[in-house]
Amino acid sequence: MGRFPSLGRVSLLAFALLASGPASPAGREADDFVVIVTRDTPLTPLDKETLARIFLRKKIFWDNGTAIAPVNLSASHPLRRLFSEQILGLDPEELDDYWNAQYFHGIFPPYVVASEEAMLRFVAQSPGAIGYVSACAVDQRVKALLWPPSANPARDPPRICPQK
Amino acid sequence: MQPMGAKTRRTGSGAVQQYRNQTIQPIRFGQHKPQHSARAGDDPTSPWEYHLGHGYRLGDSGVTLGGYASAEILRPSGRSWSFQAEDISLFVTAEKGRWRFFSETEVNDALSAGNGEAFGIRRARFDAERLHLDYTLAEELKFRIGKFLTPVGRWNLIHADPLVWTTSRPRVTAAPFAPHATGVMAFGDFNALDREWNYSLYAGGKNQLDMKKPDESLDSVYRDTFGVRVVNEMPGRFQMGASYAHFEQVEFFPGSRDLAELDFFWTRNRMELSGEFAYRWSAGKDDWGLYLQGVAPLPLPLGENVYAIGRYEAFQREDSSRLANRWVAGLAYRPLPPLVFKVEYSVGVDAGNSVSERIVEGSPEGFAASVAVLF
Repeated sequence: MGRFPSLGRVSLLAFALLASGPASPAGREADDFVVIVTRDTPLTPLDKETLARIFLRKKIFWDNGTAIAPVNLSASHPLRRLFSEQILGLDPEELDDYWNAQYFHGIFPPYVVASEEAMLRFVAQSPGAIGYVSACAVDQRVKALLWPPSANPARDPPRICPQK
Repeated sequence: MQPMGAKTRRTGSGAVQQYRNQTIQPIRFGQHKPQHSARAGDDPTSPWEYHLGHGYRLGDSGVTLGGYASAEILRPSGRSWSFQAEDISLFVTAEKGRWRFFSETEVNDALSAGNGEAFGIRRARFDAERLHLDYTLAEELKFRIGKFLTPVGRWNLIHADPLVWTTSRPRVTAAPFAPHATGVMAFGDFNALDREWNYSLYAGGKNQLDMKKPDESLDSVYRDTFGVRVVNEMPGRFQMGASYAHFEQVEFFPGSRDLAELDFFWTRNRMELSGEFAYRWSAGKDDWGLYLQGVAPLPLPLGENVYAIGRYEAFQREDSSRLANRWVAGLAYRPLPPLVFKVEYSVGVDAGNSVSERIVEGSPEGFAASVAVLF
């Protein structure tokens, strides 16, 4: 059973940029991603620039003062690469020098988890956390802040993640 | 196994690919601990983790230990060779809410040899390179107190050996000002005019915390320092910065100095261009310097991790009528992001004045090779 119907409980923001992601050899599941936050996080609109600042550790607090805890998938994960290219405009490797320099100043890159399920668990249980998963993997444990137009529930039928 | 669709840009060795695929979790988020796991790979890994280049996180304490190390072999023109375990720097980072403590303790010349000396630790010395406490009021306004890197130019702020492409350091990035300041700073990041900016405003007393500085240090004694730096950047793409500093120089032509500096950095497809220009003025005597550096990857069998580096430097000292310059050509092999092997040769003209001989120490003529790693 797909998890898509549960999304009716969360607020969604269309994010047109995400519609143009390149197809991945891994299949359609990597074409659409959803930005997710902990359910307790107040919903505030996030634009691409703000999202980029969060994942570059430039923006470090939510509006309510909670520390933002960005979470990444591993650098080789297709969804991480898609997210990085779409939001940051860079491959993960192109940020190696940036993170080396940040480390020299005592600032660390986002936490990294090994799978989308780990991402969901981490974000669900961690106040202030923000991450991303495939559009078809999101469920009611988290809130979705951004939603690709191609996954508009009013227009598209629910899809099931191939691996689920 | 590597997921389909993943790019393998650095394919020089199996170790590289293993590094790429590993799960790095270099940050601690306090209560952000997973409590359940379903199957292997679904559970974020333990907070007690070490990964090369990202330090060792001490569980939930908020403390991370790390650092970098480097060793170099120098063969300056007309002089004998020397070996130095140049730097072993230890970082301690502690975060608690809006507070962050950071220290860098450096062991310089931990092991040295050459110039007629056998291997030994005679020249080893400890320096408190950095020691500061930060408080974040907002992203746009943070405060720092302690000893910190003087925000002048790009090189000085990333001068650690694993972060730069050459063993030598352009003179203009250290000689005209104090690389460190001890005092207070306000700094922050903000977005304006559709661009990312950061700034630093600082003021300090003496630049040194150490009771005694060795003679060969680049870090001369300065006091009554204040300055500002503004940077426009797009991480991973470009950076442009401008700095101003005022200070009192205590040694070598003591007196008041003002310094203006401009710098840029651009990178695309692993090619880089960067440069800095600084002009320092005082009553009657001015000096200036610059460097321009280019870096390009080489298509060699080792993979895509070998880079060619070329640099031109010029430095006009206030006590000399002769322009000193350097041409530096080098190669760097970077099998992993935190690890780099470097070799270079430099030629040029010195200012011919021995009064400030220490100024040329950072960029001698001749051969240099080194290895450096963030750990």
